[in-house]
Amino acid sequence: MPRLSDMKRAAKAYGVDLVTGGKHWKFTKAGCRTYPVPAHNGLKEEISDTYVRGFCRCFGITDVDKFRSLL
Amino acid sequence: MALMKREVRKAWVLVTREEDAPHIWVAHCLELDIVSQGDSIEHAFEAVLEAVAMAVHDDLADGLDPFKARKEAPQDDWDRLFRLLRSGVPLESVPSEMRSKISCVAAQLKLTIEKPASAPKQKLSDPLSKLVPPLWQIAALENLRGPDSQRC
Repeated sequence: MPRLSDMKRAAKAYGVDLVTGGKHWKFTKAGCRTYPVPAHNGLKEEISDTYVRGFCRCFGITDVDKFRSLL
Repeated sequence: MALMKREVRKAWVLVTREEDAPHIWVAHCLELDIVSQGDSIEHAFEAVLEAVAMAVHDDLADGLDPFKARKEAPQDDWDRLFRLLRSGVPLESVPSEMRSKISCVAAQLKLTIEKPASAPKQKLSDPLSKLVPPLWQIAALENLRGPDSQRC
């Protein structure tokens, strides 16, 4: 299962940045709405596939399998 | 004193076990298509409340209605909710020894948004989000209702 650190790296390839701070961090990209990310365990947080798919929808990433391959 | 306008919106939250990682409960706010997660049903609900409050605050700060600026969850998720609403039971009625059988839970989230009636550039207060009512949650149990029961 990918961790938040993997998401951060893969998101960068799509121009999506991780903003840290507080209980809920968030992914941001110009022109898109922010997408909160659970970070109870910081960058070690395990990220569910349901979250990955929601993330892709938020940022207009249509090839989810390609994004997953970067995790 | 600025005149504040209060708006109350509701949204459905579906909490399910992650298929590949049963120790993770995923909470999905369907109207806003926001996903969070936790290590228990209650933890997942708390997490998605925080996530929704944060996202709504960001949208309001940008002068946007979050329910218009964000797309809803895919139809499959809504269908899952509808199946649960048809066949589920109140969570509070589930005996503790049966809780491990829960496959998904639904609840309504209440967002109380206060914003200035005028002067939109004024600082917005954080939206209050909570479950309404806290115990009105519906759980779908595997095989609880016999051979005709369906998985959520």
